[in-house]
Amino acid sequence: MLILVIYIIYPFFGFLFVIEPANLIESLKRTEIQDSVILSLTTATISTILVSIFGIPLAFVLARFQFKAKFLIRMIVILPLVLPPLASGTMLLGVFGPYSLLGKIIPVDFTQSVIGVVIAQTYVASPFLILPTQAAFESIPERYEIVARTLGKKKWQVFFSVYLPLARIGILIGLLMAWIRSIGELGATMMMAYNPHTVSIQIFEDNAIGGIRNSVAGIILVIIIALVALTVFVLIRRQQILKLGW
Amino acid sequence: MFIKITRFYSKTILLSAIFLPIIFFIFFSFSIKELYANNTIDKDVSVMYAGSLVNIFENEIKSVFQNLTGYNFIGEGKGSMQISNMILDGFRKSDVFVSADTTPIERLINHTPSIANWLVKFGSAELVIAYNPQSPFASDLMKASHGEIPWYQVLGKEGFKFGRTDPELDPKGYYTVIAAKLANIYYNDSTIKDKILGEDRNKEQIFPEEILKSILDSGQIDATAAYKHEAIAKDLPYITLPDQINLSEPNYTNFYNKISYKLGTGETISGNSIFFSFTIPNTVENIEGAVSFVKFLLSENGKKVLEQVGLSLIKPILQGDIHQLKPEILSLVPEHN
Repeated sequence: MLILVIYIIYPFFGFLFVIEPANLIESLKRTEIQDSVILSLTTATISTILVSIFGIPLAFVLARFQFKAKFLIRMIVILPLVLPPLASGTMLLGVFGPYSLLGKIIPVDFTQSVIGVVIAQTYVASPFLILPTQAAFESIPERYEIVARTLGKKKWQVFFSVYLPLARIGILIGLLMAWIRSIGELGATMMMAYNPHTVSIQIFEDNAIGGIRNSVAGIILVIIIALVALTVFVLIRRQQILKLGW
Repeated sequence: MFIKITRFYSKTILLSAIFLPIIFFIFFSFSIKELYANNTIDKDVSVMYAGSLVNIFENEIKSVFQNLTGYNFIGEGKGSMQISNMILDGFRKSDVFVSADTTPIERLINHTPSIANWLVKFGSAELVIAYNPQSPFASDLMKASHGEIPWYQVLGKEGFKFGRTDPELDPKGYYTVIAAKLANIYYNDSTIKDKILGEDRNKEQIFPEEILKSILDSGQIDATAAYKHEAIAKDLPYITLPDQINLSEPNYTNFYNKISYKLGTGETISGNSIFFSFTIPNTVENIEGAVSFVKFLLSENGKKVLEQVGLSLIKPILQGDIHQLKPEILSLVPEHN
């Protein structure tokens, strides 16, 4: 158990030795780095919103309704999680590439654009929201719904006034996981939109050009984002968000 | 007394919990290393090669080499400058490095301490424009390939999407920039390079070598700079360029020399004929396997495979310290400069 903890944390200590403060400050000033971080934060937020609009209702249906194709849909939802992201990206090209049906019909650049980044992130990050959300809905006892219905609430009212508030912790964790997964996305994004560069692609390119020292700035910014996400995660876990009036 | 004993035992348990797994881990690692040393490592030959050779090496060279020698070919294709960086940074210890140009190996030779002592040029490459036959510009590109319209006019058209590798990472990347600047001189038109490529590191055109073919196939770009052997191996139609531009003809070296490209590291690459070269870096772990692979490349069997896939072979030329070369390789290299 301890070995695994050391194994996870050791690269962070190793990374400290390659940081050169003077170079780091210069690197942080690079517009490519700043632009890539802003792009990643923006697209990850858009992707997470898109996943939540379609994913939360889907998770609710999977958790609360019984129907024939339920098992099949559950499997489909997990697919982006088990597929290598490069494979997902290659398959997405078949749907959104310039020679695809959609690419020919709709005069929009789905690839090599911000839209391409969002498409890739949404695809890969979707299970990270759906699975915890579904688990959260499943954990709510059915009697709450029965009581609310007895008190005259309509089905959609029960969803908004009973299920959503009770599942909020699971949903928040799902949103956070989907968001952070979108920030870290590389494989599918690379195929759909190598340009404009997200922070992961910028790190990949900086690393290829000048080795680990050249990519330090991007990595540090990603670590900071991850630490913020981790703090939020801990806050959610302790239900402190609730105390803040959510 | 009881509390002291308890504390002693708690400390012992805690220290054991920390150190025993570490000792076990170290012991386990050594055992694994020994196991590999005794059984498999001598059989593996790690070869890092220019990304443009990926089809040739993985689909052709690998199986023939393995069948003939019994070694396992462990290949990794990347931009040659990137491989050079990785070896310089100590991220890779390859047994053989096959580069799309001499510069990436020369950097290893000139490094202090030197990571390689010599290189052998064994093939020449020709720069062409490979294109997707489904591109909306395909008919114009085909006409250009037959010489009916100038190629640079098609590539400079509104909406034309051109792709290439990064000049900072890949010899083909910087040779593309050099070739476009040579076109400016050859056609006496100073706008050609800017119309086709834009800036040297125009982000919209630059993709990693490993995914460039997928980017072309899916229609995200219409055409790309490629080596002729690469276009043939990937079954892509292509436009040949005049010898004054395609960097394949040593007789035009003086003309090629007129243009250079300055890398971000400050190194300057002069326009030159493109020579594929190899070396065995000093970090080699399986010297017998590495020599065997190099001998295979220079053998009649190796040459046959390379020629079949469209690589233009030359009489091998050695560059660097002749005394560091194994005699069995030296005997296959007639020229030295």
